Amino acid sequence: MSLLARLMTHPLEPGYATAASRRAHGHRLGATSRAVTALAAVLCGLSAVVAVNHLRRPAPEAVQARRLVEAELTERIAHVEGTRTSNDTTRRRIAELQDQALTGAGGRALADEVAGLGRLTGELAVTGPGLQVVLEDAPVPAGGQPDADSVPARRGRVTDRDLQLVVNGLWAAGAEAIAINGSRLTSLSAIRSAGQAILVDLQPQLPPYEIAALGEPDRLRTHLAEGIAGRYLDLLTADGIRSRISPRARVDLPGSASTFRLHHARPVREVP
Amino acid sequence: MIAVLGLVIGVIAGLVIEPTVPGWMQPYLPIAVVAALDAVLGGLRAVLDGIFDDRVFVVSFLSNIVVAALMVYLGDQLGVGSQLATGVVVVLGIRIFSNAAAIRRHLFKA
Repeated sequence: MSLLARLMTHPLEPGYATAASRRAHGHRLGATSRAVTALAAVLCGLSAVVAVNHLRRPAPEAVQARRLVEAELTERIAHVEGTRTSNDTTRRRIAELQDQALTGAGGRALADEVAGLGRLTGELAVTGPGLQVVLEDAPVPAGGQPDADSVPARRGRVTDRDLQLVVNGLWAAGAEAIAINGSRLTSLSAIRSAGQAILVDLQPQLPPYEIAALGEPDRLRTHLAEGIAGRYLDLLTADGIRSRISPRARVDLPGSASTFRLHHARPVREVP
Repeated sequence: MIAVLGLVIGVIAGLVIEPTVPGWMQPYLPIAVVAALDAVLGGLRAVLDGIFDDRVFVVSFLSNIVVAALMVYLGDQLGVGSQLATGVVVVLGIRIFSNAAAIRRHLFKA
């Protein structure tokens, strides 16, 4: 403790006292040492102010790295959007050419069948009267953002399971085609969750979730309400999830963005 | 007083030039600033005591910074960097406090 005690009682550099006594004896600094002292003092001031300046500024590397990642992200998103648009164009072109080729070959009936199948599988866009179901997360209670992982917050959030049940209910009610937030569902579509996000065919979707179903609106509505999905929607309302079901005179469902590959079964060779 | 003059010139030069600090130096900056603060307060007290000396001031200033940085470096090498830095800050902090108290007594006689 003596070290700390000494620090408390004699905080001044002992050198000052020594120098003072030396000065009292008539000892003076030479010109050279005065110049060196001045230079060193300049150095001291410079280093101190540079250090302070540097510490007050945010680390430029971090800012730069962040900006770089941001730029790359924007670029990638633009790239994805561009590719998706060009995919859509190409797909439409392929359908057109296919239609032409089939018609040209004299198979009008065949072309119609291909178009019909394309609408059925979700490859081609369809339009017509239908039903719209909107699911939205429970409103955040007044007084700020609660913990996102708290039980009420989790219960009030729409999950992949909810969407699956509503979609299956719509299929059961006789929907001819379904899209979630403009993402067309096919027989191979998956509605899954990754963390807090819901993925429809691996594309993340954000609330509100608009499920558009093609079909006779009144019939869809009645059958949906009668089925298990109707009761499930009531349960969701109890958790604070808002749902709206509204008939539409016209719903536009785009073609699915997924790749269509022809899967066909082959008989297993009989072993003699 | 030549040391004070030099210090002021250095501060102004630093503000005007704004040189960049190499990356390897950055861990030592905070502790160096505390050491510099200690030296400045010590010098101020010496002025009020009437025993200020240019050479002692500059030497204490430089040695403070260098020793503090060395201790942090040594601590980093031994894996006790933050603890040693804390020690340096505690010692310098006590000195800063005591010198500030002495300066206050000088100025306000209280």
